[in-house]
Amino acid sequence: MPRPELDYLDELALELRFAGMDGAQIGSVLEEARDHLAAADQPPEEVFGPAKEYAAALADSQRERLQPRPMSLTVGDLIANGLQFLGFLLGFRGAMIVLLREDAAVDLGPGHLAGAGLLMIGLVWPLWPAMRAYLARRTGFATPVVACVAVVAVFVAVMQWWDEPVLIALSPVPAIGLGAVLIAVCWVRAWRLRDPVQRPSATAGTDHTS
Amino acid sequence: MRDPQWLRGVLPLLVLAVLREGECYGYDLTRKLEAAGLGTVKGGSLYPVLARLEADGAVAIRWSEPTSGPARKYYRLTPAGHEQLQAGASRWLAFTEHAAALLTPSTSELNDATP
Repeated sequence: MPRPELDYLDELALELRFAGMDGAQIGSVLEEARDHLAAADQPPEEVFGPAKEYAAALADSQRERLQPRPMSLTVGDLIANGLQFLGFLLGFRGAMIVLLREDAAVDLGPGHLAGAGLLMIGLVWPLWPAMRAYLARRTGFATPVVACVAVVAVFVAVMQWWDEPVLIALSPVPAIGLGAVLIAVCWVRAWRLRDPVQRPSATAGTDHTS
Repeated sequence: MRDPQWLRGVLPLLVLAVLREGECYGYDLTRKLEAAGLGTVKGGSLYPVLARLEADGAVAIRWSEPTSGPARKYYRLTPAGHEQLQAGASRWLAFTEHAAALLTPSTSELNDATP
């Protein structure tokens, strides 16, 4: 398939995702578009119009079958990201102590917990809106990078500044284990929630005749 | 020369009318509409209409098993689609009859226009 067609279909897939279609619906639209383009032998923009407008027209025609708040962060997403952050923190610090053969514990202070909280807030704003704007091509790559650097800078400053009193002290190996469990739980959750674009199968279809 | 606005309103009915003749896929529908003298119907106009008809249960779909290339989506009329077509066609024909009566110049107008 020529490059312009691939670019167009990629853009269309993204716009459909923004409009609230799930992976199966997007796969169906893309497959039908590929079939039409192969038969028509015309540029995709000429056949379907701009991807954003075409996606909006398709979404409008099946409004009741769309996700109500597409690509939005849920409370579960925020908690999972906070826990994942703590998992990385425990795992990384435990691993450093083991590798450097230090005689120390992995201790977490209020700054670490506040850092996890700040990360969750930073995801709501400005990280996620910046990433959405970038994906929707309303802004350049610099915007999400600047947002990310700003959030990381704030949470590192809080962690450094607010390290007393020690709230949790764990031996390195249990800390690594707990960190790995937290990360694994969050990844399993993310895997279960994933919604990849699916190509339609021959068994897919509707039958309103019976 | 057809006005695109006219087609927009009546396209769902025309699609149902083409499907009354048998199962079709998207590109095939555009060719049949063109062959019927309705001009080129772009995919950007056709597929949202098909999606709406599918969501309403007026058409059913099936995917072909491709030997190579993309799978093909076929549409066929359902009993609900038949009913929608019959009701819509009668309303459309009544409307065009009234519109034609209004737009057709009267005999006196034709006589006045004759040099």
